[in-house]
Amino acid sequence: VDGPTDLPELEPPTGISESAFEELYTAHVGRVYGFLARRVGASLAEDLAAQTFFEAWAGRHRYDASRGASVGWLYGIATNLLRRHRRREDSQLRAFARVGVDPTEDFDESTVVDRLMVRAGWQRVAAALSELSEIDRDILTLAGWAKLSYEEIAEALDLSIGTVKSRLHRARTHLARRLAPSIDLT
Amino acid sequence: VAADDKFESFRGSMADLDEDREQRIRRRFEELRGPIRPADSGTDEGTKVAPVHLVATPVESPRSSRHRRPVLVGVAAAVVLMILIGVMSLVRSSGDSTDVSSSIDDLPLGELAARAGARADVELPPGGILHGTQVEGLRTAEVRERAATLTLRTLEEWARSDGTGTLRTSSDAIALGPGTPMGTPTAEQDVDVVEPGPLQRALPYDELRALPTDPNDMLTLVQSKVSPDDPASAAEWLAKMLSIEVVPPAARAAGFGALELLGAEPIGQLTSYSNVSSNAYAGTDKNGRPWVVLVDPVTTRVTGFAALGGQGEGTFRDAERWLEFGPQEIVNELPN
Repeated sequence: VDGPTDLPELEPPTGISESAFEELYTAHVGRVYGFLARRVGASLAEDLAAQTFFEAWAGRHRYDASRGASVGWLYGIATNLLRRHRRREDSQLRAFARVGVDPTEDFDESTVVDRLMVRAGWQRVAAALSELSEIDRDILTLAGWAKLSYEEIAEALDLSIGTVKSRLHRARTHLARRLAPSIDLT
Repeated sequence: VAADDKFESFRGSMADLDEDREQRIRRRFEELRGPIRPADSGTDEGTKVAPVHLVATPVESPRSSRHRRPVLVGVAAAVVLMILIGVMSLVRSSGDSTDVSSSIDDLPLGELAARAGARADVELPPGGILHGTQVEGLRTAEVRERAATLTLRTLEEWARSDGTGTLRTSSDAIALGPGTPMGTPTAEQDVDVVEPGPLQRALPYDELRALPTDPNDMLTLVQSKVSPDDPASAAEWLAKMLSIEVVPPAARAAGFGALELLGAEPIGQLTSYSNVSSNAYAGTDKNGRPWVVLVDPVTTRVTGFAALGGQGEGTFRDAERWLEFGPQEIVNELPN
């Protein structure tokens, strides 16, 4: 997770022009949406993705490239928006862990078999995620799903890189322990 | 590695952004942002935020001028205060708010802790149910002529001592200005609560009754619940705990002590969204972004909390969230 991303970085040292913002939007909207969708489901993710870019737009004059890559800044906004939906995310994960059906997924008969085949594994992932603290879940999902580097996560969450590393290690250890019994079965 | 792979593929199919979704996101973004006027191109004028409709004035303490603090602290407090005026109030205060005694409006946290320790203990009797409400305000930025959007959500909870009970949540209400009613919880959205933790899942009742009575121990406990380097989250946790009536007096006193350890200082009085004036105690996180805890100095109950989130330097537009804790009572039955 500590490698560079393949996304373009922004050039202006302070502030972002409208054209640069447009580039930022185009380059990142898909990944920001994907990250949000995996956290809280597709429907809410659409709105949160739009809000993320709106917040970024409204604060674009304060963006300081010297503080780090734009990716961390953008995901920091997205993560803050997600915190408003913490209760919803928790209940969805717990429901998934309990019954094996993901409440964030649109129902589609064609996927039912696939979902049942892997449900044991997915239930354990959902359970493990639901057991993590807010900050550890943020770090783990930013690293694993958004593919952010340590530095980018540190910028996004306003933490030191050391804290990110240690918490990520802890979260991964927790995940590995929770998933270990299911791996051989799926 | 296998666990990582498993985790990284979890909900992977959801990450795809098809054309329809992309268009909807774009549309929504442009609705929020508004049209770009040619005159604005290349400038930032349009994004400046002024809290012009946020007008509550904190009560100036007669004693505060006699207690001169270091200049830096005073400047920081003034900045914090200006921001918090915006955070905590959307209602024009014309002197008709419910003032508590002006002589205690900058009560130091040490004195507040002493008062809290001396108050009567309230326990949940067998079969008793703790009932209370919490209003949450979520704000978006103000851009150009667009007023900031404030979304209000009310949570109403009934909790037995074993943590079971009912949670009722309102639909979101968009506040457009003073007088906009808050969301009204409706029974259709009731959720049966089966996990321990009276009122907003702060802690199981037994743990509430056994909270530390030493401020340092309390802070250690709080920091084990939230990120240890996140004073704003710690303050929010303490605020929620101190809003619960059945927390023992000695633990309440330790809670205020822990707030002091987090760096909270009195900054006078502030008026909440529902027009209640309370003592305000503010601190900052490591990046200088303020948070504030509102306390009724007479009952020593916390009535509200606000934090500046988001990115940036802590300007008003970062003030995106506040909580207001309504009165609590002990009842005998869950709602129908």
